[in-house]
Amino acid sequence: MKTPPEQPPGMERRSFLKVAGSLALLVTACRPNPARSAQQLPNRVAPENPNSPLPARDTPTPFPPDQPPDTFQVFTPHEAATVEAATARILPGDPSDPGAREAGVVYYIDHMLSYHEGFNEPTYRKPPFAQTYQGTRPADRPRVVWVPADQIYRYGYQNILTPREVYRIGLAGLDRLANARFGKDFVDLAGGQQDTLIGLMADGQAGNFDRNLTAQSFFHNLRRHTAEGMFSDPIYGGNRNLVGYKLVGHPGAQRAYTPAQFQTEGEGLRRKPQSFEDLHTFNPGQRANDEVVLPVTGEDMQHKH
Amino acid sequence: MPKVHKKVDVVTIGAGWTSSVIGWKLGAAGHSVVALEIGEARWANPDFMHNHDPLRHEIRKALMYDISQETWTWRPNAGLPSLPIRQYGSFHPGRGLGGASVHWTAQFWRFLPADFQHRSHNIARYGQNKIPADMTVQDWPVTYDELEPYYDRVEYDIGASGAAGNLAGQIVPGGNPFEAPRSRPYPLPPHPMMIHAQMFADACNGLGYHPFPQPAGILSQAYRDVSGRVRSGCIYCGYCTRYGCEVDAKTSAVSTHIPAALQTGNYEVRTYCKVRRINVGPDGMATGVTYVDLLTGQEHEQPAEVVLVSSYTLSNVRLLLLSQSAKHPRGVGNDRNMVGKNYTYQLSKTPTTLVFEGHRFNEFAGNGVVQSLIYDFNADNFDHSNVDFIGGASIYTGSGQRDPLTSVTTLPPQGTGRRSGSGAAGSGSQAGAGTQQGGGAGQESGPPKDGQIATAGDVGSVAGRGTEWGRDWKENLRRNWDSTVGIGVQGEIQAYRQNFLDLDPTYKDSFGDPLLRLTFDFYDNERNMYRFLAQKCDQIGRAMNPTRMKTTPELDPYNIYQYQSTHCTGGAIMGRDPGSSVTNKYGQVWDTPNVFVTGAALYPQNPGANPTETLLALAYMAADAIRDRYFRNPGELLV
Repeated sequence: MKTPPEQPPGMERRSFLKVAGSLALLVTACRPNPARSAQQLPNRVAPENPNSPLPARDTPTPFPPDQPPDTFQVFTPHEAATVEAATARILPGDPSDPGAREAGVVYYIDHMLSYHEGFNEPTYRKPPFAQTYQGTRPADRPRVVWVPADQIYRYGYQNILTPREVYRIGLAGLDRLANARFGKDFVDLAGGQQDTLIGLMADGQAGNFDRNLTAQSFFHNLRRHTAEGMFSDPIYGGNRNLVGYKLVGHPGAQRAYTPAQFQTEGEGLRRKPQSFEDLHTFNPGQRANDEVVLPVTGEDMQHKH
Repeated sequence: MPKVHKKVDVVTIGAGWTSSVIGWKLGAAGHSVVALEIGEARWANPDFMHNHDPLRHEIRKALMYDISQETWTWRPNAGLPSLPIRQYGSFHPGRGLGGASVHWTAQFWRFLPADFQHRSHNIARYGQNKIPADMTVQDWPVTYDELEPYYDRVEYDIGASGAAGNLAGQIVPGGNPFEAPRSRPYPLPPHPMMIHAQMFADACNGLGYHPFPQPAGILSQAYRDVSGRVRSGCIYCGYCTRYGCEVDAKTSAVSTHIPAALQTGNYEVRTYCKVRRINVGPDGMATGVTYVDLLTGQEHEQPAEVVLVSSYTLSNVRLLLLSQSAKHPRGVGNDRNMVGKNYTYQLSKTPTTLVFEGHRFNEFAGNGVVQSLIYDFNADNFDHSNVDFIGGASIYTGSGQRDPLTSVTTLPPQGTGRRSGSGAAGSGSQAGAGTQQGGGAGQESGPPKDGQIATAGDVGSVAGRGTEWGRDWKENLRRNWDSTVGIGVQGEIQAYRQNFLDLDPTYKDSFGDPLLRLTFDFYDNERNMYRFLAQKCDQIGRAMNPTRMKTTPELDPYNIYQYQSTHCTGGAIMGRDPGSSVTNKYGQVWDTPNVFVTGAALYPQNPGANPTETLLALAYMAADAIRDRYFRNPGELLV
């Protein structure tokens, strides 16, 4: 693996100013407030019994996320500036027609990466991991499963890297690509040059950033997370001022529609877009199932037996 | 040392829908029933009160089984290695009280009479050669007429919504003319349809087909269900599949049968309990189960007269295979190597995508049942003499509940500039946002092109391989996100000798137990059927007069990374004799008669329709048989 070229002195500081400069555009943007109601993720509890066959569980991810809205937990200032610049080419915009930069997508991605090494859905991580081959199947090796290169796509996510590592490696690779092609880091290129590099990655013409990461895969990740940051609820750090919802004409979190409303075209434009926390408190009238109490665990039932 | 509990009449695996049906019917008769649920307790109030958070539910899978601890492995065929499903893709099993019934879409179907005689019907009509040697489809040991009273009961117990198409032999206009005779109409009227569903219905009528509204397990009006509670009608909020319903309009075990079961006083649920084994005594009969309390790590034994294997299809098959003993060395039910056979799935694709420029259809509203369908090309409703396949699919349009998160990455590319990728439309998923790739097509799939490097490190497949970006992507999203409509198919996949379930030799769960391995791919019948259906979708799409349209004419190979359908079926199939099946028609295991299996693992193969109503009807029938006959002669096979 090649080492990334040394950054010129002062790069971090300049990059940080770039980030700060972009933040100036966001002064009028709404920042997410704490959620009105606490929701818990599915329970993950560490076993109290040291002889338990269970592995120690992760600590639960707080909900809502507990980071201050405009800080980076994972990215260096230079990495943050690079992510912001790249996502702003994938979903471009300006203050009058907001895109990824104005939506705060880079904050969404940083917050996502700050828990569980960036894994934000249940992910099975046990080895052995797959390696691909072309032609004749290589000899057996411990901790390797050989899969034909033209079949691996069918198996979905099989990467040994964590999402956090994908970004560390991918962003360094993007700068290597930028320096090889244009002699500067990605953030210092003109928009058209940045587009050239994004296009090479998207079209599979930029090779590998690492033995475990193709440039095209890194593009797919950036694109997916751009979409997540643009269109998830603002409580997760992106979609500020609901600019993602407004772009596509989605009214966001609404309590209800009548058939007459959804059977008339353009209801999304007639409603004021709402975030998750704009929803009014819901009172169903009848407090369903309130009388039903279940034991938390089998242990509670011991007195019955 | 495990903690040993007092013996009960029935212990159930999971507290899902069939568990609560058994708990309610047997509990009312005075039998003690204990349900061991791996997940948490959750109710409409307060747990689903404030749930309109798409990232948490659709991307981060809040209500799904925790596959970081236990997943499944898959390989296309026995010549390729199996790899674990490391992140969610093809299907979405649930976790917690009520199981997947909490986050389902609630499409609610009876099967057709010919579905139950699948093999003999096709041979009688088309000859022995219509079924290839490796296609192991079988007849069911039950008929439609036997199940009809249970279908009827289930529909009235929960409050099903729909338009009757065949009332005691009389064809009723507006309903499904291909449905089998029903003794009563649906208790509730059908749901209203989306704008584009009505356009689809109009086009189908013009072509001489027979469109009708989707039958649903969601209340279209307030209804007093079998638990005695009056539940609200649907408020069409747009957050349905993958969410719990905040008004309990979407029927689930949690809305209906669990409250009914708890009211008997004889149904006890223990949460956070993971069942690891069915225990077997020296006489070969089950003695109960061993489970672990996940909050403490303490091992428990729950002795029981009857063990009800009532979790998700794949979990049921795995538990049978893991429960090895001196009397059943290959697992419960597997004395004749029948467990794992006839694993099938549902073909769920979006062959045709339409764009109607300038229209906004409000596809974000509603739910997954505000759609229109035709049954003209499902099952054997049309003559197969001159086609090279058996079976068929429903064709539909008009699902609501589209969310940007699951649709913007796969919106079909529209731009012409250099910043658009090729956007080769691969296999789409269901039309509408009821599924992962809500927009349907526009998802690139297929092997990497020349010059492209595929490593095992490719993370793109999960990220969605759509290629459009930049100004073109943004303009496409702005103009077409609510103007793009899919025409989808939900259809049959036949059973084959080479598609099966067994234990994986390599990968283990967090307890060290082997994972279940799926060996599964599509074969000629699926490809030929898809090609035929795609032409029909294209024909209907043209009749809808879109600005632009695209049809994917051929079926791509099966992949595990795209969400398609949670309707995994088979693996512990019911049949007429122990030489061809695992259980009898009551789900009673031939070689261990005090173990009963419920759910879609019992299906010899999945028909075109969704499996839920039939597995509830079968659970009703089994519960009555266990209550009225089994407990009089415990250990005897029911006839």
